[in-house]
Amino acid sequence: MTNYFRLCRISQLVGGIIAISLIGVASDTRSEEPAAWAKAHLAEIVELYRHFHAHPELSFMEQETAARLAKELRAIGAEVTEGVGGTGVVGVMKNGNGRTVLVRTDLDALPVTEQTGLAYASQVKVKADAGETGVMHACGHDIHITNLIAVGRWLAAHKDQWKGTIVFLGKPA
Amino acid sequence: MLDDGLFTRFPKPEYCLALHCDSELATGKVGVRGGYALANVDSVDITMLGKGGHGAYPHTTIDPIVMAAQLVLNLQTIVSREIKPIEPCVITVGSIHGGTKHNIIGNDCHLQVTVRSYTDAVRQQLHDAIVRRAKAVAAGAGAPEPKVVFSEGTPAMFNDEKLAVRLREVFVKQFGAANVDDPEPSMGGEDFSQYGRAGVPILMFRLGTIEPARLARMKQLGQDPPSLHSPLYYPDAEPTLITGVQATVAATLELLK
Repeated sequence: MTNYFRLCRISQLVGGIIAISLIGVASDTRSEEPAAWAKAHLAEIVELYRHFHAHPELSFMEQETAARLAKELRAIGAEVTEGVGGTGVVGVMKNGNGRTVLVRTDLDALPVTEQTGLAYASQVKVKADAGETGVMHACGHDIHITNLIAVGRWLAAHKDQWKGTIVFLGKPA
Repeated sequence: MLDDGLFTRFPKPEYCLALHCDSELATGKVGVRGGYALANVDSVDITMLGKGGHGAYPHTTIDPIVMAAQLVLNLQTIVSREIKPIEPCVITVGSIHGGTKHNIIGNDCHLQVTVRSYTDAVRQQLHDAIVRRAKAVAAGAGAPEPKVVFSEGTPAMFNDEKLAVRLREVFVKQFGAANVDDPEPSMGGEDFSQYGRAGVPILMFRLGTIEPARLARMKQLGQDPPSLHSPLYYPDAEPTLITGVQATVAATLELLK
């Protein structure tokens, strides 16, 4: 009888250990979910955003912005073509057979002089009709660009969770 | 991009996805709307042509700045008096430049105008009225005909309705129904609309960018949140980007199914 109970005890323990390790595995999968992943990589993502915010460029003059986007897309393994439609960037990431989805960002900033007072506010100025104007990402395109890169990074790191082709598009103007 | 072979040089997509920052929506929220979400955008460059001379001898000139000033207010009555009130449209003079010095009446004055509409009919009505009014102001002053040049011509953005329903469900699952907004149609413009016109279903969803506490504070102070294009607008980057990544990945994975 005691042996029987001992066996039960051992089974319970083993069962418990298996259950706990399954939870452990499940937690690892959950931590790879986009929001948690983004939180874990927030510092790099925000640094990227602040860079774009501090270096805005006007429509069809987004050379540096496009070059940086191209660099980031290459770094995640996309096949990148620059100079499409002007300063546009196209990055193609293939991952087996499946559908093709295009995800797009705009690249351009506006002739507006920033007054936010942020530490990473744009100091860029250009000549304009009335003399000079600041340049600013006043339409949030810097968020769109950063978001696209972050999404690309997640997709590249989780190829086991999707199949098909993603076309990343950075569009001027 | 389409003209440079986006859909021919690269794999043609079955769906196109984009998001846009929303300056009045709280972080943690997204907005989805099927159908017309954004307007037709036309840019107009109007140059009123006068005859320059001395500021103290206006009778020897035809003053282009006075003509331009007359035209600015004149243009507003197109929307308020000529277009059916239930047809949304906007005419805005975004810039006006003329002259070089206090005591010189210049030769011309240049206006840069943006025109927003939803339907082709209203778009054409606005076009014709702008030309007519600019010519009328010039004729009134005995001036040569003005130069009126239309450009840009972005079509209204139509979010694919099936896609909107599908992605709304995805976002409700991700964020909860309370965090998925049903935004009003806007008079903003997006050339993303062109991909839809090229036969690929598109969806652009909105992303909340202002922390709820900041929105509440502004409301308390009776302030409107700075809109997009304002020099005071800034997103709260961290929560914005976390929600952005979560929403975009979820939408992308759904569309790949």
